[in-house]
Amino acid sequence: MKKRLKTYLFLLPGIGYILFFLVVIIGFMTMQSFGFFNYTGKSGFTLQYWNSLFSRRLLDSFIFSLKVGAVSSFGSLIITYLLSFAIKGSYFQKTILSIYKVPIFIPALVGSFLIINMFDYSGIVNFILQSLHIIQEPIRFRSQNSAFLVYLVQIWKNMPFQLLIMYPAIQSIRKDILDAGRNLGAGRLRLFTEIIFPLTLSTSLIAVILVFIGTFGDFAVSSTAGPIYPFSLSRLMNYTAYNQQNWGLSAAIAVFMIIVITALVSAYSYLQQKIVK
Amino acid sequence: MATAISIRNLVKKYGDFTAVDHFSIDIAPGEFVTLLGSSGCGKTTVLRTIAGFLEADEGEIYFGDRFMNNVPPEKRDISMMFQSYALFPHKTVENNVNFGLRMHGASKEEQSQKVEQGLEMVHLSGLNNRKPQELSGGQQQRVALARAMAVTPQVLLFDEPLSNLDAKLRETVRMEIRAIQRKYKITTVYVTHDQEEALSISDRVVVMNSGHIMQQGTPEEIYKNPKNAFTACFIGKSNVLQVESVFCKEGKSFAKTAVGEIEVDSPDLKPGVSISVRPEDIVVHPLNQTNVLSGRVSNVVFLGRYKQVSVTSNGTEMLVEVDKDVEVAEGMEITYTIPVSCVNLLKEE
Repeated sequence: MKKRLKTYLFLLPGIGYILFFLVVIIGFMTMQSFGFFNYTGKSGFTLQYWNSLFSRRLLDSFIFSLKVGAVSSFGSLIITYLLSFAIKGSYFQKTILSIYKVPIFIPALVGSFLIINMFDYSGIVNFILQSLHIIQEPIRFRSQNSAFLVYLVQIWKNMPFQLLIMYPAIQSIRKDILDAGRNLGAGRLRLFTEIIFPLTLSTSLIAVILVFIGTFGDFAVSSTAGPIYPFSLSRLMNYTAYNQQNWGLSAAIAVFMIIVITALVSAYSYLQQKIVK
Repeated sequence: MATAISIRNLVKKYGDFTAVDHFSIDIAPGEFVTLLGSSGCGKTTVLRTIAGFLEADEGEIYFGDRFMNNVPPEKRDISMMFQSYALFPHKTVENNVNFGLRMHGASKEEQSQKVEQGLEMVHLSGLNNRKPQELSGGQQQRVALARAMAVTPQVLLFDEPLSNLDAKLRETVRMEIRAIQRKYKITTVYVTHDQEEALSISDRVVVMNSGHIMQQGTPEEIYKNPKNAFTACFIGKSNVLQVESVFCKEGKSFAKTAVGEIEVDSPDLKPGVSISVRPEDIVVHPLNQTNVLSGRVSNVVFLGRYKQVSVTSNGTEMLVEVDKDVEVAEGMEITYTIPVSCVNLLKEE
């Protein structure tokens, strides 16, 4: 009995911390989303915050975050596949991989500003395009409702992270299996769709889910490089809490985000089990 | 003579190392040619260059009249069986076998018909839905064969396909490969380091060393008349003796060697060349007065059907094979005879 108690005590700093966040904070937030622990008004059960989730604005934010998550995770995955395939066995493999990891060490906010600077109305990209007489007027990459720059920053930021996950999986595909595919008439595309993709599917699902979770809930990049409308869910959550003092709605948005991510992770687990089978 | 594959002056280098050095060969349609040599002799490099996985540094490869150097592997109309089988682990047996058919745009009916035929050919009917990891090594090997044959290729390439199988299974699969190749008359290039495999399966054996062809010919020619010391020693076992001097007696040529005087039936006999004699050609009991040599038995190894005996004659060791029932023991003085017809003159190197 004493021994068991000792073990639990040892585990407490790790598991206790996680449990505290899961039970207390998520629990507290859920309660807030139903009208309890209200900072700015009367506390009591209400569904008004959850009903507000179905507003046009929130729906647009949800679609925006969903698009950012999907484009960033799948966009960086495609580039990672292409790059891994291109540099497999290349003489400059190590150098390219080292350069490719650079964005990991640059904070998201800094990366975001760097890319905004490049693509801004008076940025270097417009300058080059104008100098080459490709365009007459500068392009507004960061227009009112375009998420183009958010996609760009997120893909740039998440590519190396996905490469760290995907590259070993792609490298582990035996060369003779690829040779056998080519030998039997598969060109590069069929080789990818028939052999490389199925053999790395389970790893790519992990890579996509991890990047999706990060980008779906992103605040920093969408705040700096994002459009004026719609906000990302995190940005909307922040705005609702601090600018509108509506902590109940903010909590409902947060719980909703957790539900979406939990659903995605469950879908991933289900798919993973099917793949293993 | 029409050729299915023609390789002219093929050179392949890895950095400063020349793996294949001016390799030339013509292979007739339906012929079964085996590239035989030890590890690193360049045989797999030749095979992979034929398959298109490696680019030739020099030389030309033709399939019939078609220049193939710049044709990618997927467009060469060849099938290769790999040492590791290279079955697609995520696909079933059926999907492995019909992979090539799908890539070549075969209809569903043709796919299913050829898969059934292929699996029947390799005695694996009914295992369509198994995954490769659920099969034994021999079964995987057969799936690989069925997969390679399904596309009815112009050329079939084998890269040491039996090296992962046990001795008994190796023999069975070897016979099956030969039977199927003969039946469908597919031009075949087979790579192995196993001489027994090469001799038993091929129409022609090409012995390779350091990227060069040392000798090529039918299995019998290669075994019975090795043209150089490498082939003599690589194929089977051989006693190689240096000819110290040459003399004639009663119109016959004799070579003076370390073990004694040996009659050699060759006009090219001269001092400095070497001769080889297979251990199994040496007769222990004196049959005539020519090439009768004597020595002391230094070692006896029982190998089932025969005994391998080491005989030291004048300080030089000769390998001799005798019937399992012959009484020989270490230290015993014996005489042995070398039939003149079994003495090969080796080219100078």
